Formats: sequence, C-alpha cells, structure tokens
Amino acid sequence: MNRKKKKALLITGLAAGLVFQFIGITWAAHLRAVSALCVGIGAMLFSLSVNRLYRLSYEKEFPQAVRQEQIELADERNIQIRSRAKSRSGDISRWAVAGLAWVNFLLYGPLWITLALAGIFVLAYAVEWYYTDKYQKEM
Amino acid sequence: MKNRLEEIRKSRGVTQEELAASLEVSRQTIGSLENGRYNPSILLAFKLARYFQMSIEDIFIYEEDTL
Repeated sequence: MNRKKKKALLITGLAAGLVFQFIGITWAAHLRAVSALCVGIGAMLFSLSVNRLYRLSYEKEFPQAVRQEQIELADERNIQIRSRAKSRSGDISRWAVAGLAWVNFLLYGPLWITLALAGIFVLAYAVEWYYTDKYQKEM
Repeated sequence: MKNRLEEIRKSRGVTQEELAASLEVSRQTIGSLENGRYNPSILLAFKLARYFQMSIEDIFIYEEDTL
C-alpha cells in the first residue's frame, strides 16, 4: 500500500473512531452495553489512527532514522538477543506459575485456582513440545 | 571462534559504522564480532568475506577447543 492510500485509510479510521465515540455517547441513555462498546471501539480506532498518522509523518521527515530502525530490527544479533530473552522470560514465567499453584495449594486457596495454574503450566509445556516437533521437521 | 576482523577493517581504513551500514547490521554487532563475544551466522560470515574480498578462513580462525 502506498503512502497516499495509507494516509487516506488512516484518516478514515480516525473519522470512524470519532463517529463511534459520538454514537456511543449519544446512545448512552438508551443502550448501555452498545454504547460502551462503541466508545471502546471509537477510542481504539482514534488512538490507533493518530499513532499511525504520526508515524507516517515521522517516516517522511526522518527516513534515515527509520532505515536505521529497520536495520536494528533485522540485525541477526538483535534477533538472537530478543529470542533468548523471550525464551528465558517464558521459562521463568512458567516456573512462577507453578510456584503460584503450589502457594495457593499450601494456603488452602480455592481449588479452581490451583487447577487453572497447573493447566497453564501444562499448556505451556504442550505448546513447547508442539513447536519443538514442528521445528524438528522444518530444519 | 577468533577472528581478524578488527585488524582487517583497520588496515582497509573502514570504520565500524561504515562496515555496519554496508552489511546492513548494527554497529554493535560489528563491535561484538571484533571482541569475539558473538559468532556470526554463515550468511554474515559470507557477507564479511565478500566485503573484504577474502575467504571466510582468512577472517575467522577455527579452533576446535572453542566449540
């Protein structure tokens, strides 16, 4: 998508965001659930469009900085660093979930919390096994 | 794995920034390669070798005990 089309789409998004907000506010007295939904969607569309429009003007004004950002993002060492950090944080989070399950169990907390945390722990392992198997076949 | 990257780069009068820009990697990657903290992918090793018009073995020194 070229710059002009992107800009037009974002301006449309911004306008749609404002329309949703307006509908949400004016309907507040009649349909509370629909009104809240409209305000939420409107706020999301508006902020997203403003953010992307600002980014477009930044890209036009500082092409060199944007190019450098792209290089940093695609840099193989940075990719490895991010991947390792994510993997380590995933490991830590998984054991933290297991720890919380034990704490809840030992403090006689509700059983569903222990089961839910244990479920998350098992799910994390299942996802890891799935991707390990997938990558084993791919590489 | 040891390498002669810094020595070769300096002998050609190229800065880390210039090398990084030519290879489309970050300057920190070049610094880490020169310090021996990071071993490049085979693709980057080829890019470096092509940039200096040398073979990979001329830049990187394979040592079995470092593996």
